[in-house]
Amino acid sequence: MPPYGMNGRILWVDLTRGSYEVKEVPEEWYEKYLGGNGFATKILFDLVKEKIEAFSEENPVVITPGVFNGLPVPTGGKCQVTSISPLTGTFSDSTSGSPIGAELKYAGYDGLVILGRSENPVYISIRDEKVEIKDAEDLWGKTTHQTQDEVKKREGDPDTVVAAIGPAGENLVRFACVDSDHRQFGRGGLGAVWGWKRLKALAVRGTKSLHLADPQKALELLQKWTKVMRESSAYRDDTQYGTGEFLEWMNKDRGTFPTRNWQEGVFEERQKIDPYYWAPKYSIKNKACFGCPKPCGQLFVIEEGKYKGTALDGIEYETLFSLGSNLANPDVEAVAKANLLCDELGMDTISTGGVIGWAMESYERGVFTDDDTGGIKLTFGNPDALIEMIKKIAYREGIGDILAEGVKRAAERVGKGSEEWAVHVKGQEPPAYDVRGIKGMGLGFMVSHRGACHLKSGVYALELTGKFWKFEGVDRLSAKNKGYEIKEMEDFMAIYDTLGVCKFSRGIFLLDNFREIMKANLGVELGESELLRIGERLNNMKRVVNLRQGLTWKDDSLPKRLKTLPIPKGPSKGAVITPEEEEEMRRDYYRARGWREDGTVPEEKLRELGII
Amino acid sequence: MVKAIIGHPEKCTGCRLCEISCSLYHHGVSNPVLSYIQVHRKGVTVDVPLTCTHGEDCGEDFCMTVCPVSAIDRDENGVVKIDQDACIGCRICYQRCPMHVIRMIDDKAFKCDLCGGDPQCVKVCTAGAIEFVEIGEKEMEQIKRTKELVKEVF
Repeated sequence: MPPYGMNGRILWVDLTRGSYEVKEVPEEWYEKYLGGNGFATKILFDLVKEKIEAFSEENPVVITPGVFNGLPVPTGGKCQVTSISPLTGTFSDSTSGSPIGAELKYAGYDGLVILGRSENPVYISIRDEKVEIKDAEDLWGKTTHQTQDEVKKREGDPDTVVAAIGPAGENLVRFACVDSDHRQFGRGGLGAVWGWKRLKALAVRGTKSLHLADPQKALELLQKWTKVMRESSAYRDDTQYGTGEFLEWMNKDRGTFPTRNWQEGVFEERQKIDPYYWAPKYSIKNKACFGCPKPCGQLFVIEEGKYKGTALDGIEYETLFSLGSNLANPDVEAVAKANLLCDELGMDTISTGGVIGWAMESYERGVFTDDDTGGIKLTFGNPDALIEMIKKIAYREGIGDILAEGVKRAAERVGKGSEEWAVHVKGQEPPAYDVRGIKGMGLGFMVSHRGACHLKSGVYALELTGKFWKFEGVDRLSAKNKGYEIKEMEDFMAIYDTLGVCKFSRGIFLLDNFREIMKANLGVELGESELLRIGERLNNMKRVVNLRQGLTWKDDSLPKRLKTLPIPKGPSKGAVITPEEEEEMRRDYYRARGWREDGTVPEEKLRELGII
Repeated sequence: MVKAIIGHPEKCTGCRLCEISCSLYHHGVSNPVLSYIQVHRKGVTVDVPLTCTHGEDCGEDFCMTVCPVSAIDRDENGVVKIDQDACIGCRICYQRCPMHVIRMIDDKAFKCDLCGGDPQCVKVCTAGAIEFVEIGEKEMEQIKRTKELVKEVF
């Protein structure tokens, strides 16, 4: 019997055969993996027994609602798409606040697994028990948003939730994303896996009820926690300015805001990309993820000028870096336009900015000529070049065909020393934390199971402020004793991912706060240590999948630039992670995890965690 | 004066906690389809909370008027309510409601009853996008604006 609030069913779709099957969730899965991201982990662990290619029939695409999706849990609306990434070759789970997770729950499922490959473009339509694979030939080529609008019309219900890829996914851009309701499963190139499978979109409509253990108590808790969130200090920051609220602080107080392809840690011309400047001017209202009473989303609208008519849910902190500071681009309207283009064409803004930053440096160093760029002046601070490049990448035109491979493969292909300034971990371009001055986050980047990522460990705030949860006195400029910190935070965040809770609630919900929420909603009581145990189990399973994919300890490393070029100016001037520090942090982390020195996982560990 | 809930699409974030609260309070489950308040989204710019105006600006489609068996009436507080015992499940009110907020459950019509004077949906809306208020001129304008948006969404 599934817990209250869950369905006990996972839908399996085979695109090769054009068939589907509903399977019961095995009883023990709830206790061991909880649900959501936990189920996705177990499914990949079971299916990926030896190395597989991302572009293959056997690569599963797993879509899972967070355990709390669709339940009265404020900020409990996050869901994931998980697969083997074409960018990193690793286990790659991407999170979004799209309502599609909740809708899947309301349709009666706790997950959706897609295998195989369709002969022709299709979209999957799920309406409660009614599952159909429908022709999408005439949708191929449309943007993510055009596709969603059209599919909603075809499904005949404006409340249908749709997820779709755009031309970038169709053209197998290695960092193509999936857009759903103007939110993105951004990272890892999962949109390209959909594209390879010729899966254009997923449409879900659910009309069933989720039954709770104690509905009255659950309603009380919804009101209680909504009030806590409304009265928190985070409320103003999140709603008024969005995720970029701390951008100025990152520059002025910490000097760890990556700039100009990671050449620097402070962006001098940041005034116009600072939300304190642009939100009052361009933001019309907030946009929320499903179930969030403190929405950070800004409805950014440009009403006149060169980019008139641009309207998007943005601009997020990461994109202010990737399409802004990383390209030395202070033109916020151009950043907004570029952001919208990425969303419409279906590309991760972080990787897009990462690879374009590399390309701009390559151009300035003479590695690319005007012939290579098709006449575009690919210089830092040129917003027109940015916009042109995005289109070229999505359609793999000219130099876009190289850039579409991601910075790692592009640099390998181009050579001429350009690997020196190709910044990535395991092939994934890093997010907006200059880890030279945030060393624990550097370890987080090194060992994250999906390549450079700030969310899997989520230690950036802890490192930058010095304290969070049970950690205190943390020194961002020290590489000492970071192993246990990153290990524990990864286990903590694995629970957030699995329950489907937004990480911006981390200051409000410590793991013990979930006890009463889980009891009222699911009829299950778990405390912090039990939850951390599950998180540890999941992180070890992800590690095993990656080892099967051929990862070694060498891949748990930082790019050359972050080990050889100290931050030149600002509050973190002189900061760099030395090779010795890199090695120390890696060893420390393996020790904390109970792994061998070569980064492999001993059988005893797997048995201890009940994985085998 | 009639007191009802009006929606402010210009503030609505689309979080839908109102829907969960309503279905939970009235039906003991989490299911937006059973909620008497619904948020409809279109593109990135439009989030419309549709609420029952308890007769304000319903015109000839007012459920109380169109019900063939007079199962819908105002109580002593002016709240428009459906008597499920008298309801014959003909669905006329469901089809005519200009805000699309009548629900059919097991062949009976259900609607917003303002939760006995303390609406649950309003409690969880942090955006100020739903307001429990006496319907005056300003509120009527808001209702009319919302109905224009309804045409866009459906």
